Amino acid sequence: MSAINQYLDLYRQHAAVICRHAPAALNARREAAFRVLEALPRLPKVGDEGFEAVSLEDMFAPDYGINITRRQFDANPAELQGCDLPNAGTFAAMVVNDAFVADDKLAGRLPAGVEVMSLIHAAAKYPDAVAHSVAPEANPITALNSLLLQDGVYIRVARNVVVDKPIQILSTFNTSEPLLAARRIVVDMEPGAQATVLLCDHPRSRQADYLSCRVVEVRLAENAKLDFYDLEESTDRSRRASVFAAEQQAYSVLNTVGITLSTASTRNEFHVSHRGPGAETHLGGMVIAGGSEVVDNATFVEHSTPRCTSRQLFKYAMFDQSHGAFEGLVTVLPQAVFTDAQQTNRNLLASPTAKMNAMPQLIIDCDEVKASHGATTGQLDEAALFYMQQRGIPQAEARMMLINAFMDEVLQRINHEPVRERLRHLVDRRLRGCSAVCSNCSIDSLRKQ
Amino acid sequence: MKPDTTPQRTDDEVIADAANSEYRYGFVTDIDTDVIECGLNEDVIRHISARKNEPEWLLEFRLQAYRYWLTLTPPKWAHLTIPEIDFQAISYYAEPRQKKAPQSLDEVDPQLLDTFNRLGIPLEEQKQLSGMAVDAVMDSVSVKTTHREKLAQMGIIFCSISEAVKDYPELVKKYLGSVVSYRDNFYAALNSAVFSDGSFVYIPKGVRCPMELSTYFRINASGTGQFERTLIVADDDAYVSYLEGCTAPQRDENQLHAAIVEIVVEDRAEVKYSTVQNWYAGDAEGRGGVYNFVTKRGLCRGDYSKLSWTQVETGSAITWKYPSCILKGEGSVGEFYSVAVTRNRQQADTGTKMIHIGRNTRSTIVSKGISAGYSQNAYRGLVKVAPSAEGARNYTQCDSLLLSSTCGAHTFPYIDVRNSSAIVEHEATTSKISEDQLFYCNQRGIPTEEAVGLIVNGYAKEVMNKLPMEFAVEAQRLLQITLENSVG
Repeated sequence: MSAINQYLDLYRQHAAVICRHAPAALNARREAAFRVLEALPRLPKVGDEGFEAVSLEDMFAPDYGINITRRQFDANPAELQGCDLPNAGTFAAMVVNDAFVADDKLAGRLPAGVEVMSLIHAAAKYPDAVAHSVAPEANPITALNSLLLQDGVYIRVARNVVVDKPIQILSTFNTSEPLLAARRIVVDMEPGAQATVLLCDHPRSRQADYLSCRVVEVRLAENAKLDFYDLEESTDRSRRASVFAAEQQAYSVLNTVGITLSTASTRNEFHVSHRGPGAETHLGGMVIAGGSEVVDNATFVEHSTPRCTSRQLFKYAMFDQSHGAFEGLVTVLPQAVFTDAQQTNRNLLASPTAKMNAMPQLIIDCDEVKASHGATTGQLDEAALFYMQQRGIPQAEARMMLINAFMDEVLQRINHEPVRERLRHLVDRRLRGCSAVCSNCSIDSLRKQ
Repeated sequence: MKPDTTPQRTDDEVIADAANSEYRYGFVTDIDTDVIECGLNEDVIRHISARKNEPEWLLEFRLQAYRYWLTLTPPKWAHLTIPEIDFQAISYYAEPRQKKAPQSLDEVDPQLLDTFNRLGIPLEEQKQLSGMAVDAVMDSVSVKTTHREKLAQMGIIFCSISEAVKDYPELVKKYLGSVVSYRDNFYAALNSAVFSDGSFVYIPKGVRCPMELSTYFRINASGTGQFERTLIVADDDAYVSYLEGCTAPQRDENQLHAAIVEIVVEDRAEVKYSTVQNWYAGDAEGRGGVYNFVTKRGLCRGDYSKLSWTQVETGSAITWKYPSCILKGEGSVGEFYSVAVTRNRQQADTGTKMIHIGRNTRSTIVSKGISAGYSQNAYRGLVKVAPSAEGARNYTQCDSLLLSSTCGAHTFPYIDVRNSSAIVEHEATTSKISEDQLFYCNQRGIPTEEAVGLIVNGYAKEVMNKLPMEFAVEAQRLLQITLENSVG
């Protein structure tokens, strides 16, 4: 029996309860999502086209609890102080399990034209924006999210407003019971708006199995610019299935960097489509995986308008028995003339038992294009290692330096310097075998070493 | 070697010829053909087997494959739009009718010989002149194998597979299905059930085959499919270069070609397999044409063995073909060089699989796709490095050239690495012909059409260079003709 059935059954039995605690805009999608899931024989598994490492069927099979009655969990926004960036500061809010939690003071601190609120709140204030989704509805992760979603985060930046500090959303799990959290983060950038959004995924404990079923929706209006950074530093008992969906209007710029430092298994999908000419998309990703971690990044970039640019760079360093996969698809439709698309995937296998799958794909139906992709899988340069050892650098240190250098190209894509330096520090900690936590962090589970 | 028999012609003639470049091989030979009734069931298979006086084990092999085939459905994962094929509407066996087996060339039906002459196969007087040994397969039956005596002196076996079944049953039994099992895929199962003929090559230990071996395939009878099966075995230290050419008459209906090529390469042996595939591609509106669904695979079983696939694909309405190498022996080498040209409404989903199992195995993939008209051209390739493939190395390059705004060029590589000492590289680019290059040629008085031919030939040169000489000339010309009138 497929893992889907338990969610369909849950919905059949408790639709009224689920809907009671959610705004109408979210409830309106549930029937369609239900039909999408009902039509699937099962969730995708390894071996299905485009699923090289992570099996959604296995990920969703355990009987996690779902907090459909909206029980309140302890949440202390003061924890966010530990996340503060040196020399910068952030506008921070939290998602505890699946509920939005913000400091009372946050609204007061946000500059004019910037709003960070719960989806329930947003549904009342901006009903049209919440009702209109850009996420791919036929996608199984989106469908599961839409079926179960009751709340989320809504970020809106008004026309021509430039936000100097990053808007940070910290997602944590805080229960002693297994839990599946359906999370949604919607970012609306009005014309000419510019902002940096930083998402951090840390469970609060490692006492139970967690699954985050997350959808991020991004709408970029003309000339808007969004820098979107996503850090996952969780535990070997948490899993994540994430869909990032963006719709870009003319001349908008989207720059994303996703960093996976620890997880049990993660699948990140990036769906980007262009709705106007001259849009620019930069997708970056970095994975450092060890143990028996499984990490999968899949990108779907659809060029449907003229003169758009896309750049993708995904780098993996795989240790121990970890298994990584990259599935990248660039589609250029006939009308998307003068498209310039590039996709690069570079992988390091640092242990004899690590595995890597790469599937960089191009579908091109237009001749006025420049499209290329490259994928390599290999190991550290022995000559470079030897050179460093000759000069007295211990092998372990030399290896780390080389991996750091390898990953630097991805970190360089982070435009906001304090965020870049913080993430660089976390990556360095991860490579040293420590958990990648900030120095003031109060989340106990992450202080394992 | 096959001499270029076409006399030198003036440029005007070349242009006139090129401008009217309809399918050159679209003639039908009026030969009395024995076609069995359409449809497929166990009786048909028994009939084919009985017709060929096959031993019991081969019939059993066919029936097993057929029963397995019944459980399968046609693969749908390729980037192709394949109309539903009615497998019961095809005749699975067509034999050019001859009274008795020919003892010499004189006894072969002159019309048949004429067919092959028009195809440019040096079957008759070129027997002595050309250094090539040819096995011609028409519809389903191998017509004549030349040079057999000379090859036999060296211990080389080059004959049709049905003869091999009679004369060398042990060899055939040992190797048949050892690389492409009937359980491999839908079309492999179908072929295993109904395969009619094909070539069998065995190069004994230490023998370097002195001439290029060649097979021409031709579908002639209407309403038939062609299901040939080629088996090549190169024993230790042997070498052979094998060429395959294909043509078919112009017909409104679609014809099915589902072949299997199996190659076994033992210690330090080398096999070079070259294909110039020019099946009828259908007319400009996409009517008719051959469905070319082929399973080709070689097993580099021995240490330091080498298998090289070179293909120039210009024909077929739909091509579904992935010549592969299983690199099992230590230090074995696999190569794949491909030029695939699609135009009008042609569709191609082609590429290769390189499966690294042995230590220090190496593979190179160079794929050049050229799409024009309303065609769809996809490269699909797998590079798999097993945990045992210490020090494996792969380099893949696949480039696509777009010659019209209505065609498609796609790339679907699959890379699966399970050994940390392996180095795998993949590069792909897609673009149209550079305006600068065209302008440069125009400036120097070269008309655009010709310049495109020049640039495309230069683009494909890396692959063309890998073809044996006589094929390279033909392939280059084929490429030029194929692309005439398709730039825009």
